[in-house]
Amino acid sequence: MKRTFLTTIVALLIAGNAMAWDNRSHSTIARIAEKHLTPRAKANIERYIDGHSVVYYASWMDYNRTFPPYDVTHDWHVDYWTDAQRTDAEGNPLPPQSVDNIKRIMREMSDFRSMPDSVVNINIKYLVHLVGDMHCPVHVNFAKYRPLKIKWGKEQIKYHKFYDGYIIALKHKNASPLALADELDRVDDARRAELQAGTPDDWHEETLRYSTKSYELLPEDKVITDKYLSEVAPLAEHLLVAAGYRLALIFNTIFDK
Amino acid sequence: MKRLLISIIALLALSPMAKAWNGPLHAAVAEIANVNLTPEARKNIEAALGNHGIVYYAHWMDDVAKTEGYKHVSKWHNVPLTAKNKIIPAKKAAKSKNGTISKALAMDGLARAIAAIENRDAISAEELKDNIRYVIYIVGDLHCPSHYVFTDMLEQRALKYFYHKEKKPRSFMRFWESEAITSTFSWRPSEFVHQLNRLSPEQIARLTEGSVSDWVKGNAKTYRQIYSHLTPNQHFDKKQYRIWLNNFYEMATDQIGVAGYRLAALLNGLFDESEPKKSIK
Amino acid sequence: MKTKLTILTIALSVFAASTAWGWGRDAHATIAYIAERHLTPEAKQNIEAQIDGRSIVYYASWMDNHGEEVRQWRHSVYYDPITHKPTGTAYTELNTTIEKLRDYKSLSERKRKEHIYHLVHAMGDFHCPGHTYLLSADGKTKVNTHYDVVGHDGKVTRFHTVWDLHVIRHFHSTFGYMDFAHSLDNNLSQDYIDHVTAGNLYDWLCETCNESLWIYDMVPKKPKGTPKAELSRINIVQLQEMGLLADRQIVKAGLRLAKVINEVFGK
Repeated sequence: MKRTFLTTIVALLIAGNAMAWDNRSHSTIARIAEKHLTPRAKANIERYIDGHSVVYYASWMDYNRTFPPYDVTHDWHVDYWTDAQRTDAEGNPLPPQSVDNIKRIMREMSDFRSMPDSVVNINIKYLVHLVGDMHCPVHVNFAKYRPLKIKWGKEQIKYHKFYDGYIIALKHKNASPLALADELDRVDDARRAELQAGTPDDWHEETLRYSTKSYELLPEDKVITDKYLSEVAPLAEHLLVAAGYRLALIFNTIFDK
Repeated sequence: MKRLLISIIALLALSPMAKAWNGPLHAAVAEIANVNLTPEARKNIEAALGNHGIVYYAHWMDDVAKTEGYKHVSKWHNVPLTAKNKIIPAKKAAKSKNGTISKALAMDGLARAIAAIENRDAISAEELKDNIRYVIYIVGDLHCPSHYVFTDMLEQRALKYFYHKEKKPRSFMRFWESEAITSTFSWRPSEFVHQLNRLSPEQIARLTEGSVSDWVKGNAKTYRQIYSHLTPNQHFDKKQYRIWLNNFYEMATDQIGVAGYRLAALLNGLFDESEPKKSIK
Repeated sequence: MKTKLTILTIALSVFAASTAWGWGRDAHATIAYIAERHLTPEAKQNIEAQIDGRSIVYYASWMDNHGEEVRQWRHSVYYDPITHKPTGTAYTELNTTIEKLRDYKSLSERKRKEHIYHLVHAMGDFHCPGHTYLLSADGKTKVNTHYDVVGHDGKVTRFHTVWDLHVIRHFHSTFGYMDFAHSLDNNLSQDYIDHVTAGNLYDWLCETCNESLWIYDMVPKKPKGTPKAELSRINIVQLQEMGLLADRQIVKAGLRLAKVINEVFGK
């Protein structure tokens, strides 16, 4: 009982802290990806997740990072949890956590049929979420933005929280993830191929650029205005779409065989 | 439980300065209009909106209301009507000493936007985009009962009521922003299409016939009725409130559909030459 | 648990009283929408013709909204695990509703509609684990879900509310009923559908009961007035387990509702 109590408290403390994209954004990314899966990849994936759609698991990692056995994944959602983590004990640079884990899972999954079903299942849940998170501008340079606060109306809230949950919610009030995916996913094949080009490292670099751009748009007094919202929302939307296409590419590469 | 649901929905909507139908309900109107656009009209509109659909900009007019250069839109939400449900012309309304009437220039805003779109060769691409977005929003407002300013019963706009144990009264006008619908249905905007987009071509033709003024006059007859269901500072317990809600939700929800069909008819006329043009008067 | 609570009888009590919201609106809408996706074209057309051309989803929570205006359906199904016999009026009433609807053309318009609203709503409530109630040996002291627990958010809440709301909303906070249906009712195999829809209302009730009783083991009832620090606490892992059960039940309720409507309105 005491243990449950303690872990609940810890879970609550952490949950309030870092919530990646919100459920709408993650689900929208998963849905955009789902729309661009090959039939064979889609069928193979769904075989491992009890016939559910991948959209169902878009936020799963967010609810499973504070308890064993998945607490090992806690830091995977961001590039570096703290500045200190950028180097190892000998001072060698470490790769960003989210991208590094995506690359590792992609490598391991190249022969998914030889893996236990439960491992494939969990790796699908990881990928559907982490590819979203690595495209979230407050999840790169995470340590830098973490303490930053902004003013929205009378509220003072964390920049991180505002970017994750509010920007898309304010722009697309109450939108269903299925509908939002249709609304945003409207580029032609050539442009989609362009967005899918490159490696996870390149995509990480792009998110960093968007992260800086978003930050520079912030008014100096850190008071959120409608003008700021209208300028930053297209950046967030672009990243949702790019994440969706890239997640589809990763899934197709692994599962279309 | 009911209160909890309502507050959660309000939280999800995150609407800081809701006017008229709130954002999600404007999006619902646009969703229904969107599926009733002709392919030609949709192609032209989306090209003008920069490869976005009309749903994307459903509540844009509200989003920019406080931005420099868009202050004029604050007067484009309401319509003033006489006791006989005649629309008071903008010129006359603007001169009224009553602020509620002088700021009720939605018909004027819509007429200007339509005129600008009809002469689109004379305006910039950005101006065309703005005017389409005005139309999308204002047609929604014209189907929200609280946007009808009945000049013979102005005092009714201040109607308040008390819910359960709340000490602070609630505004009946605010009720029409969303609660009239969301206290009963928690649908996403796109789900209104599944619920309401089920009329036959004949029914749609009947619903969209006539001019915008005809629509407004027709709506006025229905919307006038809402005030008969409330006495000043009426108190409701939870059960009484639920029964009271049942007076409104069906009518309110159906208005979202009506607005959607009519917005589509208006936009089809403007952006598809093979479709009949809708006039204001 | 059985020795602790000296439980001899287990009751599954499903009721649509206005104070108790079976599932919340999202779950009811999802169940009706999943059902609609599995209707035959004839059944869909026939049932919608009875309800002003609207979708059955529109009426999924009608019973909760209009409970004060119409006859209150008293739903109380007691399930005895030893004799395996359901008793009480809820089960018989829904059965009666279904039987009456089989001859819906002979019913008045008003009755026809009310029976449809009852069917669409009650089939959902019947599958809600939060409505699986326990009876003590004397048959009087119900252990229902109307007791206080500490929810995943650290706040004191009724266990019933956890089932109405938290299990559905916490994990998919932005989903509408179409998003839920898309996620849950996603290319279900015919084998699975056949398996779920086999049997009758009685079998489905027993199954719901048997699959739900563990919730009282996981989140035990504490006596009234227990201080917050000693109430049962629900952590996020437990909430997920309950969420998965809820989602499974939603799919089953939807498929079974479709089966009944297809039988009744499919000809």
